[in-house]
Amino acid sequence: MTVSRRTLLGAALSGGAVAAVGLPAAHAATIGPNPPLEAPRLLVDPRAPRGFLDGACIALQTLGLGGIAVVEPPSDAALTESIAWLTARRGRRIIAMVGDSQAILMQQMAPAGRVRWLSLAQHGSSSEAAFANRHRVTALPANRGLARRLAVELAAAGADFAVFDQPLGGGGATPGAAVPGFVSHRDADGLLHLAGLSAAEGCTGLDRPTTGLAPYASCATTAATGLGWERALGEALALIAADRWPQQAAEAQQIFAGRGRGTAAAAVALTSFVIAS
Amino acid sequence: MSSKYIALPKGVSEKSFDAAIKEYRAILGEANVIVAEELLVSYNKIMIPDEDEHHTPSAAICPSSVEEVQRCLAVCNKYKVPVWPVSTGRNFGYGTTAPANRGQVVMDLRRMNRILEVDAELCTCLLEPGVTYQQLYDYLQEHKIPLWLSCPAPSSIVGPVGNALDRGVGYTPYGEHFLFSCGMEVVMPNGDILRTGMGSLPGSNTAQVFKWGYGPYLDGIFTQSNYGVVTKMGFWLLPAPPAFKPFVIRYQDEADIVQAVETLRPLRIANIVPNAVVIVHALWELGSMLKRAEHFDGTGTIPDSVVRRLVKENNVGMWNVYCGLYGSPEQVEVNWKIVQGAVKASGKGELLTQEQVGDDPVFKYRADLMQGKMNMREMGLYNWRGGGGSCWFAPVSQARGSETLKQMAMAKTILDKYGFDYVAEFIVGWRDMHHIVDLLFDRTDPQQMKAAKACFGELLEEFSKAGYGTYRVNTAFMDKVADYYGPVKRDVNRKIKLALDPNGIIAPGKSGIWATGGKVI
Ligand SMILES: Cc1cc2nc3c(=O)[nH]c(=O)nc-3n(C[C@H](O)[C@H](O)[C@H](O)COP(=O)(O)OP(=O)(O)OC[C@H]3O[C@@H](n4cnc5c(N)ncnc54)[C@H](O)[C@@H]3O)c2cc1C
Repeated sequence: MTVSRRTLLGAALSGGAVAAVGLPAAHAATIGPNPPLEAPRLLVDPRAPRGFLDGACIALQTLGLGGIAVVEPPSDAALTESIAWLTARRGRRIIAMVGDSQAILMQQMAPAGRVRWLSLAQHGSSSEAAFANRHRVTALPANRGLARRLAVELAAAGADFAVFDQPLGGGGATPGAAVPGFVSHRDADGLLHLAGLSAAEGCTGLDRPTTGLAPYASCATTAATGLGWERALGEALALIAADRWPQQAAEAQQIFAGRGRGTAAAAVALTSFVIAS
Repeated sequence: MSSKYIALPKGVSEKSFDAAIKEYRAILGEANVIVAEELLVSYNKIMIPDEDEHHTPSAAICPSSVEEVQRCLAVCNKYKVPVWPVSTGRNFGYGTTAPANRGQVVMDLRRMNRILEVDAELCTCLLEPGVTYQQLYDYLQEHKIPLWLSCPAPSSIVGPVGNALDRGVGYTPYGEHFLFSCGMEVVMPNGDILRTGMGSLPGSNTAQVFKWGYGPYLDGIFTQSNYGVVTKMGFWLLPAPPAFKPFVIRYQDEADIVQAVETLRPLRIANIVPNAVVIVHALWELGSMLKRAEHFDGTGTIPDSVVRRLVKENNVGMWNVYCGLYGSPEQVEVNWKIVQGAVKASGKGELLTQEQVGDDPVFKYRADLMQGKMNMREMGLYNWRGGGGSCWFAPVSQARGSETLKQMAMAKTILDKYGFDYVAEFIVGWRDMHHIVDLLFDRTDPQQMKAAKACFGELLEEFSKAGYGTYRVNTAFMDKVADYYGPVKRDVNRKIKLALDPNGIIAPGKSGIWATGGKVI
């Protein structure tokens, strides 16, 4: 496998940011060395936000998991080799943030029924959509709550965003928790949490009807870390890969949307995932 | 969640499904009956403009033998549980592995992956459904068998049986894949095993060499249908030609498609250019290597002016016609002269050989596919727009320049209305063309999802009104397309279904065919 940059975790990230930035307090207590797991492999497209790699690497290092980051648009050969590495032994994990075509290939190369999907999400930014910054998270047993974490960070940063939390299969009857900082609504499809925009504006942007929307009371706390969504995502995927992400109950479908600064950096479409053997 | 399953088959209670799962497990073993969410993700990547949950499977079952398929179908009949059979399950842009309807159980045949026979003299093979093109390619290489296969663009990870059963295409002289299949083994819904053609005759050794057998020719009814589970399929392989000469003809204007087709058709019908030629629009050519956002940051369809600029900058044609000559060096030389003469006489088009294009990666992947070599480069199309949305709009056209121009104009007008790009190619059969448009969209944007669905519906509607039918369609639009082909065909299909599969246990809804429930006319 040719790699343009192979980084031993903990070395030379963001000019030594490893030492300077710790994990958010909310998680620090739950983290400790995790000997049974092998160091996950990270596959990261160079277009991925820098904070993502930093977040993942710092979290893994804090967990005592060394590892290898492959930073490049992974070639087909690298994808094949990574899947072979993953499936050669139980307990291995891949954390990835790659282009859509690589994600689809990985998904297809990973032997169905043998590789467990711990997390899967698409991330898009562009100015042409109703929300500049978009995330579509497939809610799975191991990553429940990830969408909420992203939404909270995005809202804290005043971003223009939509986060879709979609349980595989459509989700059950259990409603999700409302989120402080958002005004929550409920309808037959699930929950709609809005920050900085009215129900009517939210529904227009999300292309869904306003009929049947009822207010929904806030009852949970998910505090923003202020790290930014990119870093929060990297950290969350590291925790998920290390089986240290807090277990949460299955919830109904939810959408989080916020009308902040309409800043879509360069238009980019990437897929993140964590898979396990 | 109200049920322990992420979905349940329509009309099947959780209790019955528990019982069915228990019986599948007794047949297949625990590991080959999949109900866990984190494992079923692999079976629910649809990419089409429809909600994922409309296609969520309740489970996946993975038999490894014909006998296990039979026993599983018996369980299906007992509990009225529908199964959605897939061979390698990578029907990208048509619904991938996910079933047509929520709750259907995916019958994943990837474990049945034996190459049962390759006859180097008769140039045939007999394969199980899980065999991939890569596997067959490696087998031929390892055993130094001088035969070529014909594969679609996703080559290595997809397979001959699934592709041919959905009547897919490749780029060699054997590019119309079902045409080059010969003989099937099918497990019927009641568990009977049917061998088609000569295969029905005990002791016959002609099943892979003579298609028609005796009486009605049945193989066709097991393609794009739900009348049985195909467990073996024979194919003809191409003897490796002593000489192969790939070339491209580049045209600079969109309207040049007329000359391209008029030049190519006589050569193709006369088998001078024997392969399934592909006429690739600039945005497909460029889309496999560029990212749209890096070249256009406006809203809506990428303007023609930008496409023209990209064509110039990247040294491609507005249309790029990829062809191959196959045969002895002498034959290739003679045919090359004929091709040169035809292109010159047409007054349009720049003819370029491998030597002239150098190490152009797009030419390389096209040349690989024309020789049945594995090359996944075309998957790069998914990075053109990004966002993981893709569905193929695939109307059939006559191989006539005026017709292709008309279809292109119709498609562009409708795509433009919804803000999508014309990422398209024509694959040239002898007398027909598959006009393939990849409707690429961003699934993270609900407005694009909605627009893509509406756009696809309008493409189907307008083309059907003009008398153009699609050769294949994704799982969200199967009923609609079946309607366009008319009530009599739909009714005959349904009567066959009812006769063979009264409980409707195999792939209900495939190609708009239902036994019970669903859409009954
Ligand atoms: C970039 C790109 C390029 C593509 N290019 C091409 C191309 O050049 N040509 C082309 O044809 N396609 C193309 N495709 C579409 C598709 O990926 C291929 O057709 C692929 O071969 C289909 O998947 P599969 O072979 O795994 O078949 P499967 O998914 O296994 O089967 C296809 C369908 O056939 C039926 N079926 C399968 N097995 C059985 C069985 N044993 N019994 C009964 N029914 C069964 C099912 O309905 C199933 O959904 C392309 C896709 C992409 C993304």
